[in-house]
Amino acid sequence: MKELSKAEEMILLAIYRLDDNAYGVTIRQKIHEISGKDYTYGTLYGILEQMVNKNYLIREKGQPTSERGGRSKTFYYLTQTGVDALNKALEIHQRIWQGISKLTFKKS
Amino acid sequence: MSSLSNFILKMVSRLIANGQQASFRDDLTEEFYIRLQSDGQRSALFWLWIHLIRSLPTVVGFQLFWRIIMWKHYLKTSFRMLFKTKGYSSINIFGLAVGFACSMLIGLFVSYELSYDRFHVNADRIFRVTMTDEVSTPPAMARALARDFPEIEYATCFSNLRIQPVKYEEHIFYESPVLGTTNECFHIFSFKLLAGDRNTVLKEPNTVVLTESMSTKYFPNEDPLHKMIIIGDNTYRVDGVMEDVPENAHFTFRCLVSNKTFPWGREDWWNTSFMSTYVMLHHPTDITSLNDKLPDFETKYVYDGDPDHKPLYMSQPLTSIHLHSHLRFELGQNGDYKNIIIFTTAAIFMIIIACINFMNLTTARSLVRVREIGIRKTVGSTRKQLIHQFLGESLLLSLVAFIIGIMMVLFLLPTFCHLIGKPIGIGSINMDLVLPGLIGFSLMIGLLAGVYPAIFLSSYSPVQVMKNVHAGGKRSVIFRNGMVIFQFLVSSTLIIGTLTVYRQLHLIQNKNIGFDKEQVLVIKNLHPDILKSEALKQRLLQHPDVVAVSASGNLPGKGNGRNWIATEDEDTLIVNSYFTDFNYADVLQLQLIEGRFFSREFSTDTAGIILNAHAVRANNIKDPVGKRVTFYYGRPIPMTVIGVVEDFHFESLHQPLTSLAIFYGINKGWGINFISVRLRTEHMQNLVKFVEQEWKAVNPAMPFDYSFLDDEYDAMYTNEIRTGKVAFVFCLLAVAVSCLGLFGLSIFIIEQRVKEIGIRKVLGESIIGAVWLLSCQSLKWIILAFVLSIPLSLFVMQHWLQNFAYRVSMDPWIFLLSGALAVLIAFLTVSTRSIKAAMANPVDSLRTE
Repeated sequence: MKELSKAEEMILLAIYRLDDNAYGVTIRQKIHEISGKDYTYGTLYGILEQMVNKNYLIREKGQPTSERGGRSKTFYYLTQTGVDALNKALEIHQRIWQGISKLTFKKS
Repeated sequence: MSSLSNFILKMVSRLIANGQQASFRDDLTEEFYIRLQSDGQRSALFWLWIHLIRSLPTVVGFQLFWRIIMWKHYLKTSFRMLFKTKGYSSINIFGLAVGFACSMLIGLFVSYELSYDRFHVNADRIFRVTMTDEVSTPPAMARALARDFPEIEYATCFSNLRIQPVKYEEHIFYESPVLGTTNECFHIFSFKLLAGDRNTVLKEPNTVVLTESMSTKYFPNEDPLHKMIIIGDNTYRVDGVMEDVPENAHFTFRCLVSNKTFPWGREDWWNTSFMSTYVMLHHPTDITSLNDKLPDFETKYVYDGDPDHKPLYMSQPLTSIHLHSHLRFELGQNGDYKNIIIFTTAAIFMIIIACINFMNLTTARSLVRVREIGIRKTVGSTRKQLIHQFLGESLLLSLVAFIIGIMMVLFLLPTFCHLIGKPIGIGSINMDLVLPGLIGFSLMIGLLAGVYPAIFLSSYSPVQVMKNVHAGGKRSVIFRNGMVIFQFLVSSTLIIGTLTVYRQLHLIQNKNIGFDKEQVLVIKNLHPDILKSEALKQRLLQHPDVVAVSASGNLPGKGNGRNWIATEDEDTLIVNSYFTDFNYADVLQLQLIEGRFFSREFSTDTAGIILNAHAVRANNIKDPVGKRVTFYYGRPIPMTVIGVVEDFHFESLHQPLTSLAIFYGINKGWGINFISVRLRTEHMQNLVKFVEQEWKAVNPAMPFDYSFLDDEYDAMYTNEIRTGKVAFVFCLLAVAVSCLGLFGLSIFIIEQRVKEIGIRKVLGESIIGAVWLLSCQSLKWIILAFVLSIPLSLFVMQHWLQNFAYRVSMDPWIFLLSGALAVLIAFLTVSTRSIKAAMANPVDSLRTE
């Protein structure tokens, strides 16, 4: 399995945290909340589409809601592959950062 | 949300991948409303716009990414295919490039021909008034027209003084042509005056306007204005300098002298015609009322003794003169709209042939690619994608061909200009207009040529293809054969046409023209006084190789006058007139039927007149010798007919033979333009040197300018010789391109039948039999094409031959020869491959599978 990119990792995590309420608007908000990054929907959908193709995510239509003028939202859920990929990313992170809590400048 | 934002939103969301557009839009709208509630309308709208703009790059990039990958793939397969089948590809591209180059060159030529005289600002208001079948009108006419017709704003006329010696201090040159005209010329035509006043130039007698090139030639370092310059017999004051006449004008000149210098410019002369008259109307539509009034104008002024000989005045629009006017005494050599039509048709056919090649070869080659198509379809390519792929490929090829074609044009343009004798520069073409047009054209050709193979190929079902059923079917075979038939139809028509043009040229150059044009040296452009020419004649006759010498005003093919003569019974005849001396008949070796030529022994002969046989026949003159006639040259002059000369072609063979009257012109101030010398010599070089020596001895101040009568006479056919050359080149190219196509096609057909030939050979077929089998299939279509070309070429060439009063007949042997030629070429093309296939060892072809 290929390693996740930073953006993919962030989006997958956002969806994971959102549980059953992950659709365009909330995903964007969550990412902004976590990292302060302001992704455009264009970028977001590009990456979402790729991750659906890579089978990290599945798409599902929800019930039509009044807030969207009677149209349904498209929700995103993690697949097992998606979860595995996230776990692997976590593992790598932990290994890379192991034993480091704060970096200090060292002169050679 | 405003409708504009909504629209933009929709446009952007269209770019999002399939199936996501709705949620992209809905998400944005939802967040927009959230912001609307919290931050207010303006900031929400601002956010929306910024967001959309920020989205664009990623959206577009993401969307294009996959397309580019696909394009890269298509390009890769295209190039692989190109290089794998180098033979096919180069035939394909080269054929199309040749087609492009040919049609571009012809397009340049045609647009150049159509541009004639359009540089005059008032071109649509300018007309030329002509008489019956000639340009010449009486000198008084322009003035009378301007006086009598309120529709006319300005009228002017040109007298053709042809070639004149021009002298300024130590500079003496011949200048040709020198025209006489009036001040109105500068109001009618858009000739730009660089010096001098448009309103006053040429108003006085003995004034001249020089062209720029002539001015720099005589006055390299000084201001030419008001300098005195000698032209011919008169001295002129330089009143103005104008820009050189553009190449695409129907007449040109080196300088313009004032008509008022001459008696005809000051007096009202009506009974002689040698002027080209032009008028400019107030409004282009006034021409109908002018045309209606011309007959009355005619009866008012022009001598009208005999209704049979009533001249008929007509008008021609300026812009139609170059291509549509073929009158006598034109000021310049005109083009021919028939040539334009013929060349345009040739260009169109050339490009069609090239396209057919392209289509044929692409379709044929594509059969090799059916497996590729099968694989693509199995892997999931849609028919639309396949069509796109093949169209793209053919567009690519046609663009490459187009670029090669452009390079060919740039490379060949000088040669082509030389061939057609027109100075078409790349600079004279309006690139802003032409280049996009050409690129669009090449794309269109690529599309047209690619559309058939694309649709045809993409229609295969993968199963059919994979089972190795050779696709094609009857329809495509008929289609391909039809195209081969068309190509060879055009090619054999061109072969027949070229042969006919060459035969006609042969005819006009070798027809018995009634005089001997060989071995006559002509000293041109002289203005010596009569004693000097007599002295020169005597000196020249000293040489043993000089048979006879004559001074004359006219020579065959070098123009003539036109005058009225009246017989005793008041019959008026219009005759072409020649002015000669005593020895003219000896030099040209004219045959006399009755009477005698001018003779020194009869002192009255200088008032004699000699008619040609046609004049006697056409006007039913009985016992012509001794008849008294009145000759009108400004005033009536009594004359006696002293002889009848056998008809000779004093004009080109475009014109039927007409009446001619020969006058004794020396000592009467009617001008000597030529001294012709009949020679009988093997050593032309030495003789020319001798003549030049003698000329210098008699006229030390005059340049020696000579030519040979046969060259001068044949110069009347330069247009036809050019047409012949161009037709020949195009014929070659068309045949070559058709053969390329046939060659490519035969490779393909034979490849398909290799196994069949193998089996036939195993079963005992001879090599010759196999070659025959492979070749005769194409040959029968070529024979059919040839049969179809007979009526077509007959029609076209009869039309072309109408230009000539004397023409060759379209004999059957021409057709047979062309047919044999076409079939032979086609057979050679096909057989090279079929022989190779027939010679091959059947083991090789049958071993596989």
